[in-house]
Amino acid sequence: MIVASIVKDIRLLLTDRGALASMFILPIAFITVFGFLFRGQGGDQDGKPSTQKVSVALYAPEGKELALAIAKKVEASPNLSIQRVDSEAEVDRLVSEKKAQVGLVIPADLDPKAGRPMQFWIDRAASAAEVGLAEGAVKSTAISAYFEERFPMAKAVGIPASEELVSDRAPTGLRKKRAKIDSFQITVPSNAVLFAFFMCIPIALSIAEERRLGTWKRLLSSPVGRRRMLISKLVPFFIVGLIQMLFLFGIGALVFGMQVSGSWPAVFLVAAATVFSAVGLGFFVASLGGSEKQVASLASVAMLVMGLVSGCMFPRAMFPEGVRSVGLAFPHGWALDAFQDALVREGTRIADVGLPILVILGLGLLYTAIGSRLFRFES
Amino acid sequence: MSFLVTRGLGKDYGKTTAVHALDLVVEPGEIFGFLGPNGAGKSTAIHMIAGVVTPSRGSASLGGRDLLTEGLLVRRQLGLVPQELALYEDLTALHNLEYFGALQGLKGDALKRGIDFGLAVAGLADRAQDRVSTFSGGMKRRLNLAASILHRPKLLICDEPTVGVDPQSRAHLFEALRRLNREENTTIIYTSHYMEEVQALCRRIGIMDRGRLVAMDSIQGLLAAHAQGGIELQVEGEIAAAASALGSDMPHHIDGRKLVFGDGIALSRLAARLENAGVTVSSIERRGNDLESVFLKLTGRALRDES
Repeated sequence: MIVASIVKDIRLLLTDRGALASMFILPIAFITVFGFLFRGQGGDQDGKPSTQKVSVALYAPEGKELALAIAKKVEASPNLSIQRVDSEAEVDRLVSEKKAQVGLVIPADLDPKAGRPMQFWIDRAASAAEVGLAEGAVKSTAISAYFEERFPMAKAVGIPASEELVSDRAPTGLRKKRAKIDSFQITVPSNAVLFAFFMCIPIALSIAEERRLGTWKRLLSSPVGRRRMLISKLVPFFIVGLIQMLFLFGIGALVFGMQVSGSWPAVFLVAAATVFSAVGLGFFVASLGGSEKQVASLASVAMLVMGLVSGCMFPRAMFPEGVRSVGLAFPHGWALDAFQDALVREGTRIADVGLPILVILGLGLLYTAIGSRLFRFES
Repeated sequence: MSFLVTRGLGKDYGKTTAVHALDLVVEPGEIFGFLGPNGAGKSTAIHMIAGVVTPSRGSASLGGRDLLTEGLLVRRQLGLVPQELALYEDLTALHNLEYFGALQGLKGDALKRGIDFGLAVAGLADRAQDRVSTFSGGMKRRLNLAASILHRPKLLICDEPTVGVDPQSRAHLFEALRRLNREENTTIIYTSHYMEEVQALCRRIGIMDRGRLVAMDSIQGLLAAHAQGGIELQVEGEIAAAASALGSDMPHHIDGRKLVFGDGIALSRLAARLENAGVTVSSIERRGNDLESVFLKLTGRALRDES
């Protein structure tokens, strides 16, 4: 009976071009557009992060040697794009008009102790990620330049230079990140997860449609137990969801050259857990009842919000702390993290993504359990 | 031994009682008609028997098996023709039947034989490969029946199976049901709003109203017990005053706003008496001596807006 349901639902799906397009073509379109849009922003060949340069409006009037030397070092920074201006007012204007992310003024008579420090402009209403990145890049460059110039004897007497004071260390609990992260290693999983959960809509719609058509009555009057009947209704969606995932990752790897630095089995297991969770969530949505229109609008909004806060559309790092935590309340966020590990961390094994898989499966079971409590076979 | 027996079968939806306590007996090989106005509870009643709705009280058995404790085994013996066109319009007729046959546990040769049987009964063998969405309303109704008989059920429950079909398809459906009953000895429960359908098809009839079975008998029995020929008059002014003016030698009774006279009344004498009494008649109607008049007598003439 389950096989017959799978065959029937796949036949129905094949006749529905709109559903096919939204399941297979739309995600590919998103992956293609965003993948090429952000291509090259993941990292460079040497493994150094190739973050966008921070644009800086710099006013450093001719003055003391110290100020000039700091200005030169700031200008030489590879992470900063410097625009020299002639006045403090010009710095203010460029930052206000968003023509520069940061403004920096190095007074000619720079002397922090005497109350003449460097001045720093930034629009703090910008996104937290942008502020943090720009502020860190500019302040660290200016401060380290100040110390190197202010205390030139430091090296001579054995005090290490500022860049030598701190060395980068990788957390031992995490696997090594791949040298070059391709944009498709981000856009493929994020869209795959987003669209996997959009499966909730056809699941809920399918049950609502069966009720409207009267085929639900045929199911109820057939010699099939109700639990088995539900399983046979949901299994086809699990299979189709898995096909969708494999299709998207397959296209990602074969067409867009997405690298899998971790392991394909880990990717597969995360995908299977994600689809399981999506089917559970779809069943939960179906259990809320309502007409087909109500189901479609409710589920669409819910899936968009869940996808958004979980990082399927924008990196979670861009969101405030509170929203980032909310993102991990949904399986989407855990799936994205697990895919990230399986795709970009070299040597990732199945065990390394075990915890997120368990959380994703757990959330899927929770949705299924709540759905089972709420679901009404008889309308 | 009776084939279908229900005892006190009832269903509540919250505080609303859809069916109070249905006591029904259907013999093997019988075609039993279920009549009732909208909201009478007949669909709920047959859905309880078909396993679509869980009863709130009472018991039912089919072929000696209890409906509640042996539900799966009972449902192997029955087929439901839902009121809706319970078909997947985007699939072909064959694919629909393959799926519904598999629901009944048919596979391999048994499934193929079931499909051939269903298509033959529905007269759709030459359209098996066509999508249902290309079918006419009548063809869809016939396929709706075919999808319910693939496993050759011993009990076939038809919930208003002829809604919206042309006379040809209706005649075909009737013939198909008669054939199933005659050749397969299929017991049939048939619900409809159309008296002539039930009268033409069924030997016994149950009439439901407001969740209760108000009458159950053969058509002849129902007519003998409840049919009233005669004349109905509607008069202007006070009906009680008009009735007393007629005198005791013209037997009559008051039915709502109407004066009802028996079949033997002499119309000329009645007209003269009314004229002498100064009673103005606003309408005059002949009361039928058929199933419809029995139905209306038992369920009332007031419009029903319940679903």
